[in-house]
Amino acid sequence: MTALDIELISFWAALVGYSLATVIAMYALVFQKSPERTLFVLLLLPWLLHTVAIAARWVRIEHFPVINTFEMLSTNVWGLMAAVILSYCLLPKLRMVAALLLPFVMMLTAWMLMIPSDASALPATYHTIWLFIHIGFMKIFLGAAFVAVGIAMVIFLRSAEIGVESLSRLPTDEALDVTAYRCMALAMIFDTLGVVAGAIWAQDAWGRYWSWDPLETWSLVTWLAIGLTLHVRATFKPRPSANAMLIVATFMIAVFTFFGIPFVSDALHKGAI
Amino acid sequence: MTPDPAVSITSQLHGEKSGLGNRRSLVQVLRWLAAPQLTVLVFVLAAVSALWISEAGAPPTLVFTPPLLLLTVNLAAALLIHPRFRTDLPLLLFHIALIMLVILFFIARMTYLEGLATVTRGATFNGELLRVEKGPWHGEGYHNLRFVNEGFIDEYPANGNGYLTFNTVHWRDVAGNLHRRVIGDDVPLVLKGYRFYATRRGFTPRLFWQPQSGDMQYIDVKLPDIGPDGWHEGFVWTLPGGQQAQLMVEHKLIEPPPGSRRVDLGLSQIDAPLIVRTNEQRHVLRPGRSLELAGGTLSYVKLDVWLGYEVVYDPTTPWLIAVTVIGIVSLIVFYLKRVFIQSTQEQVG
Repeated sequence: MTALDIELISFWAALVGYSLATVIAMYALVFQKSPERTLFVLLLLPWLLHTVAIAARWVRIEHFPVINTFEMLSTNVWGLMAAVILSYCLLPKLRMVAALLLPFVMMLTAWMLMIPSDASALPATYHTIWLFIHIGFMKIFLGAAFVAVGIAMVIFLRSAEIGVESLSRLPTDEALDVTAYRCMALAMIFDTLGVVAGAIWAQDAWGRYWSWDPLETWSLVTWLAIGLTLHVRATFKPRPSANAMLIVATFMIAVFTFFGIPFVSDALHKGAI
Repeated sequence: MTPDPAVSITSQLHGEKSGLGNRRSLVQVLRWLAAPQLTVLVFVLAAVSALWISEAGAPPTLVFTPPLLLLTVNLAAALLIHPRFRTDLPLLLFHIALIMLVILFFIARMTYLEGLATVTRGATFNGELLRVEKGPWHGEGYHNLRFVNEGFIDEYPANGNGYLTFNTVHWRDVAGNLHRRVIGDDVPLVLKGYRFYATRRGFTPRLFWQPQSGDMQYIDVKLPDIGPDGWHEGFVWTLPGGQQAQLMVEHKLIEPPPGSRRVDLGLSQIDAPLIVRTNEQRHVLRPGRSLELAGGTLSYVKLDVWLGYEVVYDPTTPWLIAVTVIGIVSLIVFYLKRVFIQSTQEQVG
């Protein structure tokens, strides 16, 4: 069996698993069921298969597969699924939140399936350890913000009186707000580390730590949005629904930075593209 | 009753001679400057400024200065007015690091240099930059920098796009010791803090110009960059005598296959003549041949290559890294203490 065979089989098996997990998580939320063990297996097993697919691709193309659009989406789906699984383990009372997060992962997966999956070529300046450091921190940041937005969505839906009954098994808005704040604090730390690692890489590779290219600019805007969200919560102590709104808005900016900018800009720094 | 810490601080600042009214008004001003609402404004203003710079091409220094200034004033006032900053060391350090970063950004813009140089193979960089942009505090010291470009190799990776440049350079240090190094697209030559990165490249016809009266001149004409189509752009050259001539090397540069290398743009395999157009006349020159023109004789010695260098200088970089590390460590410790340890009672899950 070749590396390509392993990659394709693992990849498609992972996608089927993710789809099943999404359906079961949403079913459990709507009909107030608790298939926690089944769902955990359906999250973990496909994620492990996805890990195998990425590793096989790495072996096949001989570099870290984060360069073209397909690879960027694939590794981001992998990172977001890792965040869902981690939150599933670490926050057992919030397992239902997975039902709100997985549809977004499925949207990214659908997008990934609509684009060519050709092997990428590694640009000259990407032969550096900073590629792993920068991307690693950014993936953790997006994962932490993703979990925060899932929790914020619960508060948001409750305040809009949508699915109140289904969401009633979850903790109070105030308790959810504290956990969302923690996730955003983690996001702030790792976004800062990611931006700084990127700046050090740029300084090393091009002699400039900042060039105001669109991706850098939007990563700064994302950082400022996280800072604003944390500052507002710490200083003005607003209601959980207001915090939730800020977290959702911040995540939307982060999504635009990660998935929007690389497609509208042809600047040198195009993230993973 | 507990004394107002802000009043106590400002009275220390102004001394006991200051009147109570002055102190109160100063405290009011400090409170206004330290207002968290102003911090919100800084966040929004910084984001808008960043987008304006990136999307509309506004001048970065000019546009980003107001939010940075406002941030510095807001943070400095907050440090003075809010006792919390003095009781929480990580929080204090993080905010001081932010202020230090703003100061360092200011120093960086005052002292930076960005430029472009081109050096023919075998020639010495003479300290002249084709394009230079520098801060008002930057001196003219770069004119004294010297190094020799020994030629370059382009390596086309078997599994990759583009090419990697390996450019051998040598230079002498202050003590006269010779140093040799291979630099490239992302591996700079660093001379007295100036970083030289290999960038564009092109052909250099080496010529002699013998005027009808006077001494012979040796000239390197750097033709424009090689375009994506493999040809260099058209180039009009003004001869020492004032006459204009269009120069062209009639050679299409073909990209080598992946997994191969090309030395000095494949110069040893190029047999193309130099085309000189003057007054509607086309002349074909081979190495060693001459051409009689109005005012003198132009002799073509040989074809050579030049390599371009992006030159950057920023003395604040190590300080920026140090302050950033302090800021990040403070941020992590702050959140570890405040969010992940102290609020465990509120933990969900």
